[in-house]
Amino acid sequence: MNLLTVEKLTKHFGGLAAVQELDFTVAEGEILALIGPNGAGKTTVFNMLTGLTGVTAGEARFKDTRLNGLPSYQVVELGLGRTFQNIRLFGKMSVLSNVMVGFHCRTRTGLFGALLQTPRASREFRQARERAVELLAMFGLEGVRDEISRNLPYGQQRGVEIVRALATDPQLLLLDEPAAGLNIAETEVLMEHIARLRSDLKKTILLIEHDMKMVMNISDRIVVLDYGVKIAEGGPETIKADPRVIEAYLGTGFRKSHA
Amino acid sequence: MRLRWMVWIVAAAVLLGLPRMVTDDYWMHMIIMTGMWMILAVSMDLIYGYGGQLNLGHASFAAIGAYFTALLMLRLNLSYWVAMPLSGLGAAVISLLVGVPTMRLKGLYLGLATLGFGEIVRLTLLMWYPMTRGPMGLPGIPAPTIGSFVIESKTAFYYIILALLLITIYATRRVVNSRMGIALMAIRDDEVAARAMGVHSSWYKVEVFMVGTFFAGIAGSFYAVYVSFISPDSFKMMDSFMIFSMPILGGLGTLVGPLIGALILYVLPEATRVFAQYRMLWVGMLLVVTMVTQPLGILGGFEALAGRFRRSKPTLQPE
Repeated sequence: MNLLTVEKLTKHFGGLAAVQELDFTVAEGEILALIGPNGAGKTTVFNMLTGLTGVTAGEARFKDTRLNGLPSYQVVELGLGRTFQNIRLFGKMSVLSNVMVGFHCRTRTGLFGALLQTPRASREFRQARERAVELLAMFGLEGVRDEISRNLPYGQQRGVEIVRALATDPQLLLLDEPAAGLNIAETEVLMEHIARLRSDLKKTILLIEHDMKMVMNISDRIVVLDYGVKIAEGGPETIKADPRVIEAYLGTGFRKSHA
Repeated sequence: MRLRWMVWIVAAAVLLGLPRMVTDDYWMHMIIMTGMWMILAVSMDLIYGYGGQLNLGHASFAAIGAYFTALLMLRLNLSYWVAMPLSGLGAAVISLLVGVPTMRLKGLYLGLATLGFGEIVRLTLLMWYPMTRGPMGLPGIPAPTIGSFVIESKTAFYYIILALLLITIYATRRVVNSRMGIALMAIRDDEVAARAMGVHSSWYKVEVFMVGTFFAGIAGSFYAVYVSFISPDSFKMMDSFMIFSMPILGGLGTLVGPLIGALILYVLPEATRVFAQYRMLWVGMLLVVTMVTQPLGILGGFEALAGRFRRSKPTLQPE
């Protein structure tokens, strides 16, 4: 079953076509990587899916719900959680509170529930806290739960972002360059985590990544974008051998000069 | 935690017994007014320290609350106990009129919009002569009564403001330590990410504005019956800046910090009234020195220091 269906999705920024008539699907349970050179439009695709950027033409559906025009706080309720390329943690809040924000879309207490401290309000708050601690522990972050998030090392901040996205209880997790800025050891840990997201938590993952070793290792399928156009799609082996992909990444000059 | 209970009991005894210890009317007046400024500072901290919404018109909501109370009591002969909550609601509803159109504004732009709103309120009170009597103000606001008991003494007013302050602190604590409080702080730190986590940010921004201005209206309502005379000069633009400075001086987003800030910024200018011409000079210097040496505010700095010795950390870090 397809969780996500993208059909002829297009985005223009003024005269610039950032994404042009993009088609792809994400099946339940798979890890799909979206790759391409800088400026290819990958993050724009994420932003269109999660309501941060408007869609110029085409459409995206999550199961049966059209995503076009939905504000981001409603998209996440459907079951699409995301992380950001340039980490966007709540800098002045503790790690635990950061993760608790993720439970916002799954809880309902309002102002009056909080003021009167209704049983439901206290139960929801306590449960969110307990679940947040559990999730942090799963990713080895329970030791830093009281730290102010902006004081954490970069690798842990990336981890907290993933845990925060998980707290929204997504079926589909959009990870925007999770390995960016990580060293080799941290990337190894991240790959294990992503593998566990699928095997233990049954999450479907759509991933943007530049680290080719990681992409080739963990993805089931890969979609390659260049200047907003899909130039290839397939399994890691197919993509590695595809001449258009090599051309997009390395250019044609090398082959020409040796022709 | 026997020690903790002891501290609470002593604190309660001091607060309840204060009117017996302070016999001087002038000092009693200072204490009562400090209580009123504390309500304004705590509600300001909710809006700015936790919600991140720069509000430079908080005093005008106190003015709205004061005029609501005066008019409801003078024109409609309502009891203070009915007029007071209505005044809070009135301020909150009017804040909706500012909040909705300025929802998309951020930082200084919102600050300017609220500053402009404050001026609109002042001019309305000044010009709407049939209703507000303009610059002559509204004298003879009746004293609150409980049955046949008329609340006139400083002691009685002290207990009223104490109760109102405790309610304000309790309510803001409840809001802060709830799903809503977490959402507010998330909006303050990164609105885009907060929305991506499911927080309906524009609604929360309006809501926190309404809660904060509700308490500003309550503070103004108390002022009206306590002083029994109000005019457009009762709450001025300068007061908005003072209220804004209180939580910053004491420690933003700490709940206790605004109390310290209100104490210092209200009592200091009053205590130096003898040097009337220079008093704002002292206040200005104090603000500059504190901000340079204690960027987290007095309490924030203290918490950062204490945080080195214990696990829990302050909610705010310096920019």
